[in-house]
Amino acid sequence: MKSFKRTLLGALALTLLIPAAGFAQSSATATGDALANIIQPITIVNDAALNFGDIVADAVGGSVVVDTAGAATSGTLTLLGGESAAAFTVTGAAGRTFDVSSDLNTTITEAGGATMTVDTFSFSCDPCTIGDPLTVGGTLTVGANQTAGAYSGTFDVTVSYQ
Amino acid sequence: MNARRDSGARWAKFAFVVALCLPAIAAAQEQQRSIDLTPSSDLHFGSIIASPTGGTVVVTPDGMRTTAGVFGFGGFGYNPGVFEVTVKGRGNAHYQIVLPASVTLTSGGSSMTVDTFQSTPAGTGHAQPPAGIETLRVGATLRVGPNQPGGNYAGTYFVTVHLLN
Repeated sequence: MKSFKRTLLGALALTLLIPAAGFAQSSATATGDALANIIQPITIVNDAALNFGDIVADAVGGSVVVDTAGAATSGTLTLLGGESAAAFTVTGAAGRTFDVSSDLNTTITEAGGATMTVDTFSFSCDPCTIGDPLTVGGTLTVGANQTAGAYSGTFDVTVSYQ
Repeated sequence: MNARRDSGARWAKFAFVVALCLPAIAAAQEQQRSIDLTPSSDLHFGSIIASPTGGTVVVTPDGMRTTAGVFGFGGFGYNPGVFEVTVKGRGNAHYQIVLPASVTLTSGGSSMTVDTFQSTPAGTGHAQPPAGIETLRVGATLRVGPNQPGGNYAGTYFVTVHLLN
């Protein structure tokens, strides 16, 4: 009878103790990290036009190159000055690099409808880093006996993060 | 004879007690089930280019990223949160998953909200022993404000798993 009671007590103790241990592990919580990197958008603003300056027309025609430093050169045509490279301000996330691209060519026109073509755009940097000055040069093709006048047109320059 | 009968009676009583205890022991073993949750990968929305309007970035539990109003930048660098769920012991290995309603990511003085948490498996999972391991993947939606300041934003979120009875 004594051993019966002892066994019964032991069994009771067992049933009382084990559920407490079991329930303690019936759920678990973990911490996860959530992350995101926000990058300031890239913007480009035109500050100065690509200007080939004053050029004296002749019977042969030729080409005028303005480099990214703003210097004009021509193999055959007489240049009278006033040239400049296009200049742009690019803003974005400090230290990020970006690629530069542009239209392949553009047509510039004077009041009477005569045209010339500008192509072979060149960039002061590509890829560039935010904060770099961006200047753009190009090549103007002048026809034989090109009509005198003030020619203008537009071209697009696109910047994109690398 | 008396001694023998006493002995027989004692064994009978002992067997009775053992029989009483068996269901309790079986129940105890079922309740010895345990569940464990271990994080193995961050929930990362990757690099995002802000915009004047702001927008949302969704990373799904299977690791896809979609954006609206802002631009996802780079073809990688984003991934769902990944956890390992481990269930031990006998009995029901199904568990309930509790995800947060929303958490805040901060960078310097700026913040963004992450909400609409989703998971695979969704709602309940099942990590059947003996292996008893299931991968739990967590996605969510990031709310990017108008002209959200640039920076590396970080926050923490809690995931809880409950063993079902």
